[in-house]
Amino acid sequence: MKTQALATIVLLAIATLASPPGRGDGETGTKLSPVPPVLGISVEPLVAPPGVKRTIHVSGFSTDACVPTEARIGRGRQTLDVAVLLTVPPATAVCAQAFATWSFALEFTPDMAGNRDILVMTTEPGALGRGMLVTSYATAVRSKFNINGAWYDPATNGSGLTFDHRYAGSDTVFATWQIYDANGDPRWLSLQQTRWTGDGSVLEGTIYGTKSSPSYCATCPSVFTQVEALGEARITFAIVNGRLTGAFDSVHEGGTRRVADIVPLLTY
Amino acid sequence: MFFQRLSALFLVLFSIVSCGAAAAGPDVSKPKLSILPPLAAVAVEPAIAPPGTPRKIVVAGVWPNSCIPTGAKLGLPPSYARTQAIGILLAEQQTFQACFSAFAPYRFELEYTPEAVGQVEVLVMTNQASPITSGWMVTANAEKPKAFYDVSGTWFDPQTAGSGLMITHDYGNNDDIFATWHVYDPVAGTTRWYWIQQGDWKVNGLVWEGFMYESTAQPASCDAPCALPLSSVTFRGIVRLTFSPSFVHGNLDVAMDFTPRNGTQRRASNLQRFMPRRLVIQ
Repeated sequence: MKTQALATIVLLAIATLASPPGRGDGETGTKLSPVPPVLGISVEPLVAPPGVKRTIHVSGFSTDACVPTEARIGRGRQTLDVAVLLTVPPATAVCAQAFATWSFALEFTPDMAGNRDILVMTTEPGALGRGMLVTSYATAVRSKFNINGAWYDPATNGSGLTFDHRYAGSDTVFATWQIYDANGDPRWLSLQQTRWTGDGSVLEGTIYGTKSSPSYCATCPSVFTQVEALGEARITFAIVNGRLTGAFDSVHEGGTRRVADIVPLLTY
Repeated sequence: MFFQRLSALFLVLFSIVSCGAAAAGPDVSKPKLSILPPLAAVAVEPAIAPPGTPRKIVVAGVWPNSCIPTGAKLGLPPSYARTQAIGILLAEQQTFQACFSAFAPYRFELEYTPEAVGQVEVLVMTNQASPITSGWMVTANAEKPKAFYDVSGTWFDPQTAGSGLMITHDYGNNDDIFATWHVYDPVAGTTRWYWIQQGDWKVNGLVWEGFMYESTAQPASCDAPCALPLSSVTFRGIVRLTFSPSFVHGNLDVAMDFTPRNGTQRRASNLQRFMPRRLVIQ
């Protein structure tokens, strides 16, 4: 019983951690000015087919005057990744204390569809960060977001989805949906044959239910003996208040029905 | 040890390339495809060590021509970086001499002493802005063990296809694991799931142990199946996951052991990734 109580507390703690409290208007705490982004990596146009010239913007600010003076772009020899190398003064240089901003725009034309990492490093060297270059055809859309991991709806804490997403690779998604039946017993379904649609922020797929033959123990794995397509699902991902969210709808002939509004579980 | 294995891997790859070329007899008109040897791999010696221990970061591979990199330099992110990754810059030769088309092995060893526990990415690129490879440095001690590999993903045993383990792993950050175990009701054969969490990594970074729970919800009138809040949680036992790199298929395997409440430990399943990810085996 003590363990059950502990587990419930842990679940609630996770839900609380995953949902940072909002700051109401009535709060009187010290106000902090937003810090400008220390490193920004963006691509224009955000998603485009192969052969389209793209502009990669890399910008930021430094707390000293030794800012990058030059930027160079290159591609991988055995990977699809793109690298941006920023020329900076040597580490031995004397740098005046000052806020300094810098920005570079680099052109790059991907020759094949896929999600590529944009790795940014300085000549000193120092790894600064990474962005993403998404290249896709209208007929084979690539995902805009990495959705890998466990997700849940705080309103139905105890149910959830887990995505296995091969982002920056095949872009394949396999997912399981952990839920309950009408009696409240735990059941799970899988989401397969998935595809990205729209601008790469909408995942669609088929929900499957499986069954197995009776076995000898409750926690033992067994081979499935039946599989049934139960319907179509559509999950629309978006950044809301700086956080990735998903609107999970079931799709039927008459339209759609909202199933859950999900957020990642392990977000601190 | 790492270099011996890496050398062995290259030898195998070379022999594949050589055999592929040799097999192209005059009566065979189809073009042959050969596997390219790896341009670079990152390894750390010792693979896991406490903070304050000098580590050796090895960048080694086979360059596609005779103009191999002439040097390697390691650096830490500046103040304005948004990653804590270690950067390694390989110096490509700036020469007017012709570079022969020949695979040329190279190897650099760089010293670094981490000061804190955690998993830190190691990014390698050349001074011509060509990304080469990446790896991880894992720093841990007995008080704060850390995972050696990112074990996120879908795991299953081909012998029991249709059941499996979904793992969410906050690798590189908190190192937390949240997993769901997907099986079937022993009587009805309907799907049944358990969740696994509240665990920790053991010292070698390859073993994780945590608790398995089953939850239920209040009966509901919605069109089943339903996304519902849980109403009760039952402790089912202890799960031990032992990860090991496979020298057969080059990916991770995991042995899942389960100790039911008031029971004895048994092997629940031997799992592999549903969507494989190639490893650098150290």
